[in-house]
Parts: sequence; structure tokens; C-alpha cells
Amino acid sequence: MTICASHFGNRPMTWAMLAAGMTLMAHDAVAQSGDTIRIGTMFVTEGALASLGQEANRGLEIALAEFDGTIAGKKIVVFKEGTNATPDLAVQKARKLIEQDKVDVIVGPLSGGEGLAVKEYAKTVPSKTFVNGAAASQDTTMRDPAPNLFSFRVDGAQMTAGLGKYVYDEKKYRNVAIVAEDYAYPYTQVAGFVSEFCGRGGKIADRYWVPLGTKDYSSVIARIPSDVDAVYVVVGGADAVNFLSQYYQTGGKAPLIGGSITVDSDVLNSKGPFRSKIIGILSSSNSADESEAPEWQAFAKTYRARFPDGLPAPSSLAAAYYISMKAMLLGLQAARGDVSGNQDVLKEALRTLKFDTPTGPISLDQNRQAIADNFLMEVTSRPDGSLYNKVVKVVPQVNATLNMPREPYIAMGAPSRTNPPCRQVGKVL
Amino acid sequence: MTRQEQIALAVAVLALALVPVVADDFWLVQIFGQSFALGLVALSLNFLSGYGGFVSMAQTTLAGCAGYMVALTSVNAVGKGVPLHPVASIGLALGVSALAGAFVGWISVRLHGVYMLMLTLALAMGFFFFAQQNVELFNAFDGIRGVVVPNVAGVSLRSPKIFFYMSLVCSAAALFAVMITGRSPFGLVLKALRDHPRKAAALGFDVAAHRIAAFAGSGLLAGCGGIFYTWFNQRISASTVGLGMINSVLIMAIIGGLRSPIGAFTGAFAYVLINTFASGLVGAERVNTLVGSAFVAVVLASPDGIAGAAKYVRSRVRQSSLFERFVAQPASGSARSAVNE
Repeated sequence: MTICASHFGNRPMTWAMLAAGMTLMAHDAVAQSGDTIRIGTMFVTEGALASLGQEANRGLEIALAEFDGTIAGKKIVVFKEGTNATPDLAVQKARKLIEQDKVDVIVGPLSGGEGLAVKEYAKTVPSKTFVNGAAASQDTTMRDPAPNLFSFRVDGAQMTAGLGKYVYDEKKYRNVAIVAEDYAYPYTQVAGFVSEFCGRGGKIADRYWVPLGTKDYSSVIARIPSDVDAVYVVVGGADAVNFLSQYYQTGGKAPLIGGSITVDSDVLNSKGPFRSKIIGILSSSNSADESEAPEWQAFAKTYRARFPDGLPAPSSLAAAYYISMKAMLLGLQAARGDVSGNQDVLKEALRTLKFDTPTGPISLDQNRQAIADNFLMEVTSRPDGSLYNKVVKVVPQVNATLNMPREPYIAMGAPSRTNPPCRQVGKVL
Repeated sequence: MTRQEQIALAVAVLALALVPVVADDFWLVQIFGQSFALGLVALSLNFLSGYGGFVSMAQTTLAGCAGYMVALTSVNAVGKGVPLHPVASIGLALGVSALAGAFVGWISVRLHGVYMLMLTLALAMGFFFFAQQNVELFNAFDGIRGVVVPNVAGVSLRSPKIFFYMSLVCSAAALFAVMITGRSPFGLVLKALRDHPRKAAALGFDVAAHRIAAFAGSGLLAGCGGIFYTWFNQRISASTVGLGMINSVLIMAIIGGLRSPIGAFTGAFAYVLINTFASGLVGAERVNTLVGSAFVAVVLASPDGIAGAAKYVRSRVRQSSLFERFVAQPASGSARSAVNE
């Protein structure tokens, strides 16, 4: 038996593959046409955040349905790509959408680490237009931004606006431990919480960083000091379900404060014995399950009608992708579907776009980052026993620097495991 | 390597060299470039398991060592490492991956079969978790982004045609080297170790030294792939050396066929095609379902992968009476049969 087989054995296969390849290439050339607008979109379909991607898909479908598939007489063609929340795959998918599917614009990605990676890629294709999907890492837009990337999604820090102050003033927490996933989005959420909470005079007992996709949290839970007033938890999707289950199983006593996707509608509607224990957890996000606003009520009604198998109320990710996709479509409408050349008309339209969303009015700042309302919420039980987030407080029109002076805020540097340090500063929200 | 094989390899490379005439940049880089980069990593596994019978799960890690090294010695957006001259950067990267290969070989020097698989997997996962949590060197989950690919004479090595030809030439050279090695005394000793290690040892061959050398060589192959893959993505992060990627390389090697070196590249090409176009065929949520189904189908239908299937079809065609009657020369028909290969 020879291991090193003859190459003749493989030649027909090689030719067949080449032929198949050529056919695909030829097909692609035919598919190009001037009467369509090609929109690429990407969201997470694998791994710990897959359930968030499902919601994202629902959100963007609702936005697309509002426009009936055409803008300024041009047909909209949508290309969807799935990722696994890793920056590598996000860039590959974005490149595939632009280079192979020849999309004119991209709406996405979903996760914070992906956002930083896609930003770098966006700089290499300056003529195309990117609208962030739901990536909430601060430096998607704050430091070294891409001029062709627009974010109608608030970042993780903006989503904590009002939370640090509220738990300090109302809940009288003084000493808080932090458990968060170890990547850009939780860094940003923690940065927002720490700057506000410590700014009031609060102390951070310790920060514990867990890898995205961690299944076993027992070692972290065991290290949380027993004398803390509360634990701020920033984990999402399947990780949140795992953490919450294990925290209460191991007898965790300190009250929890939730990050924006720790106790969102997606987690509240999953199965597990932790559900009875999490009533009363405070969290903050860009949307609230049972907001009274008529725009939100209408959005929730459409969501329930369109996705009977969905959640009882759209989650923050459904809202985020709805808003991002709608912003792109409104921008395209204002540009009369012109996506030729450098797409300057579209970019100008997005830059100045201001519209009423289910979560309140949204506009962009000088770095093309959203200014939007923020919601403080408490997990509450409905009469039928299901859980939802009840609005406690609305913080209106939070900007990227949490309405603090811009220069010193940016000078604090990119959020990381240790940055910003816990310091009491003069001015807070 | 026979004369026929040499000609076949030359023809295949020449045919591929003409691809830029018809293909756009996407195909050159995203499909072919990526296939060559991943094919090199799969080839390193193919080399170890085909000749030596060592199924190593650490090949992606070896590629990752080279990838991280080249990222850290290039200009990058996160400001980690020290930018070096490209030649030094590539040399260091290959040196590190060969050393890492030798290390994996040394650690697993007495192991066979599933025990070797588990140990190399454990080493690979150890490296993954370290890279995912170490901020100082590896920049944790976000990894090293914005890696600047070096320029030569004012042209970026990442420009599509240059990248395509570079990865093509490197892949062809690696394939050639692996096939030459298969017929060399060193390769014959590896096959002896695979078929009967105790007999080989009794004949006086230094089993440990040969195994470690084979792993170091595979590290070099994987390292080439790792450098191309890092340049291809212009970034590297822990997910590049994670379980998903380790599985993907194994899938490539198996659907291509572990018994023939070129199988690594046909497997990588098939995998990249499926992975790239599946979302258009079955939707974004079902990509892995399709990859998995293709894998199961190939393993069920042809345990030797695509290469094995092609060989089988050819031998059946040669044996059929139609072939005998119309195509084959009566005198040489049976002598040319592939059955005795």
C-alpha cells in the first residue's frame, strides 16, 4: 500500500472543483444589476450569544417588512450571514458580503468584539456604508473611528447610564463586586458602571473576568467576598442562564445587579429554577420589555403578531437590530436609493438622521454614535408567573460620554479589565 | 515521487496559476488564498497521520504560534510586540512553530492512537485558554487586530494577486517536499514506525528522535499556513486556535483524505467553499448543519475522503469493460490499473 498516492487520482476532482468554481464566478457576474439595493447583514448564530442573534434577526425582519421590499423604486435584496461572536469570523463574513455578494451597505455586527474588528475592516472599504447592528463596545466609534461606520446602537457604557447612581442613592450599595465576560462589550459596561458608581463614592471589591462561553462559574462564585452589598453581573445569553443557575445553587446571597443582557427578556424566558430567585434584580438597557411608550407598544404588537413563537416581548437585541436596520432604510430612502460611487448622499443622510424609535428619539453625535434614552428596570413577575423588566426610571438622551465633559472622558482611555480605575470624580450624571 | 506525479503536480500548479485570469479578488484571496493557508495546516496533519500514524490535534496551535509571532513582530493596531524586518519576522515565526512542533512531539513521544489525540488536544486547549486570557502578550479575546502585511518593493504582500501566487507557490513547494519526504529514508522510517514501532526500534532506529523530527517538520508546514492565515485575516485572536478551528482542520484533512498529501488541499478547498457559500444555500443559521452533513456523507461514502473517492471511481472505470474496449490499449490496460497502488 502506498500512502503517497498518485496525483492522477486527484486530478479529475481538482478539475471538477475548478469547473464548479468558474460556474459560481460566472453566476455572480450575472447577478449584478442596477435596479436593486443590496443590503448585507450579520448576526450571531452560534455559541453563547446565539439566542441574541435569533432576536436580532426578528428585529431586522420587522424593519424590512415596514418598507415592503422597495426603496425609491429599487428592490431591496438582503444577504444574511451568521457568526459565532468571534472577531475573526465577523471580518471574514463582512468581507464575503462586500466582495462576493457585492452588497452596497452592511448592517451589523452583533457583538462588541466583532464591532472593533469590523470597524478596522470598514476603513479598508471607505466607499461602502456600515450601520452597526448591536455591537456595544465603546471604541466601535469613540476612539479611532471609521468615517463610514454609523452606530444607532448605544454602547455598553451608555446602557448603564443612571444605574451606578441609582444603586448608590436608592439601594444604598457602597461595596460592589463585578463578574463580567472578558471582552470589549463587558469592559465597556463595567467602565460605564464604575465611572458613575465610583464617581458617587462607591467602592469596587474586585472585578472577575470570565471567558465568553464559560459553563462552570463555581470558582468565580466562590471567590466573591461575603461582605459585598451586591454583585454587578455582565454576562449574556447562555452564559447568563448558566451563571444565574449556579449562583443560586451555590447559595449566593448578595443581591445582583444585571448588565444589559444579563436579565433581558431572552434570559427571563428561558427555563430553570433560578427564575423564582431573580425577581427584583435591577438592570439597565436601551429598551424595556413593557415600556408604556406607544411606539414600543406598537413595535411589541407587530413582533408578537409576526413571531408567535418568539418571546412575550421583544428583547433589547430585537429592538437594537430593528433600529439599526430601520436607520439604514431611512437613510437609503432619504438618499433616494442612491448607492453609487462613494455613497456620499447616503452617508450625509445617516449623519443627520433623527427619528423616533420604539425606545425614544435617536440621533448621532460627531463620531456617528447614537444619543438615546436609557432605561433602568427591575425584574418583575406578571400575574401568569412569567417575568418581565418593569421600568423604574428613564434617563433621557444619554450621549457617548454619559453626558460628562467629552475630552476628559475620552482621555480616560479604552475600557479594559482595569480601566477605568475606581475613582471619585467631581461631576457625575 | 514518480515522473508522472511530478508532471501532474506541475500541470495542476500551472492550471491554478491561470486562475487570476478569470477570477476576481474575492476568489483569489477569500477562496483560493484561504484554502491554501488552511490546506497547509491540514497538510501538516496529513503528513503526521499519513506517514507516521500520529493523529495530532495540536496542528492548529502550531499554526497559531507562527501566526501570533508574525502578528507580534509586525505593526498592529493594538501596539503589542515589536515590529521587525519582514524576513526576521517570518523566520522567527517559522522557528517558533517548528520548536513548538518539536515540543508537542517530545511531550507525546510515547503515546499512540487515542491517547496521543487526547494529549495533543489538551495541549491545544491549554494554549487556547492561555491566549484567550493573557492580555499582556496575546491581547486576550480581542487578539491582535490591524496587523499590517509587509510591503515588498512598494507592493503589499496582501494585494490579491501577490497573495494568491505566494500562497500557491508555498503550498506547491510544501506538497512537493512532503511527497519527496515520503520516499526518502526518513519517510520510510516514519512508515515503519507507523506499521510496527517495536520492530522498527528493534532494528535500531531511534524512535523518539524520528517522531520529534516529524513533529518539528509538521510545525514548519503548519507555521507557513499560520503566517498566511494571519496575513489573510490581518488579525489573529484566540478563536483562531480554538476548538472550532481545530475541528475544522481535522474535517478538512478527513474529507480531503488522510492517505494522500494533496487531499489536504482538496479538503481545505471543499471546506472553504461550503463554509463560504452555505449561508446562501441553507440560511445563516444552518451553515454548520451543512458542513456536518457533508462531513458525515464523505466519511460514510468514502473513508479515504475525496481523494479516496476519486481513486475508487478511477479504478472502477479502468476495470469496466467499456474502458477496456474503447480507451485502454489491450497490452497495457491491466498494467495501468490503479488497483495495485
